[in-house]
Amino acid sequence: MLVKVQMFGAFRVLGDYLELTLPDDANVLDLRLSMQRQLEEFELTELLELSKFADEKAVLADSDLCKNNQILAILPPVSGG
Amino acid sequence: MSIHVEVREIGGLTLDAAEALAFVDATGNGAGALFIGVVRNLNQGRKVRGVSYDVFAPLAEQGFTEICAEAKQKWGEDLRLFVAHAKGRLDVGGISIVLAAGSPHRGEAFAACRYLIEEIKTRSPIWKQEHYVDGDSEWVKGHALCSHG
Repeated sequence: MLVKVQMFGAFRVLGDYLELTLPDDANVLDLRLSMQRQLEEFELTELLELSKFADEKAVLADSDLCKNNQILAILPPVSGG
Repeated sequence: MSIHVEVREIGGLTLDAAEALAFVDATGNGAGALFIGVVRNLNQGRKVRGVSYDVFAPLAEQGFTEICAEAKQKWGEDLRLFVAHAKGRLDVGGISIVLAAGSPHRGEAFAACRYLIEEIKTRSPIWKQEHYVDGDSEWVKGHALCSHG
């Protein structure tokens, strides 16, 4: 399946979106591991460990299943206000 | 509606304290508390020229609504609450966030306003990139979020 991840904060260095091809039964942890491999050259793997994935309604757990053509957001540690 | 929540793009209307206080005003209220967050010129010894705010707006606005609901549960359903956060680049002195709480009594208004800012700072998907006078820019290290699971 194809999952599109919208970049925020320090991940913006990668552009606005990252597209990942994952197995059909992939969950958020699989997405995280797939991203980890792609981020090694950008020294963003530590930040990825501290980050969450979310859709427009909720922050997701690593056990949540991904859906084909889903658009998710990666949320590094926050600093609003 | 007794709650107003908004992520506002800079370049449109700037955030406005008077607008927030007007929204939380009601004839039964004896108190209105206001919090304004402003970009300052120094952070951790570095001279700051401005700050860019990156926001995942749909989730941020939903989170603001949830935090307001929690405040009303804690300090009374008669609270009126206003939350607006900026998105985009602000210079020093620019207003990044405006919060207001209107209530029959000051204690609840102060407490609710304080609750809003503390929760927003640690729970809302918002990121701050500081731009320094020396030309460098850096994303501010923040608070890791919790998931529902």
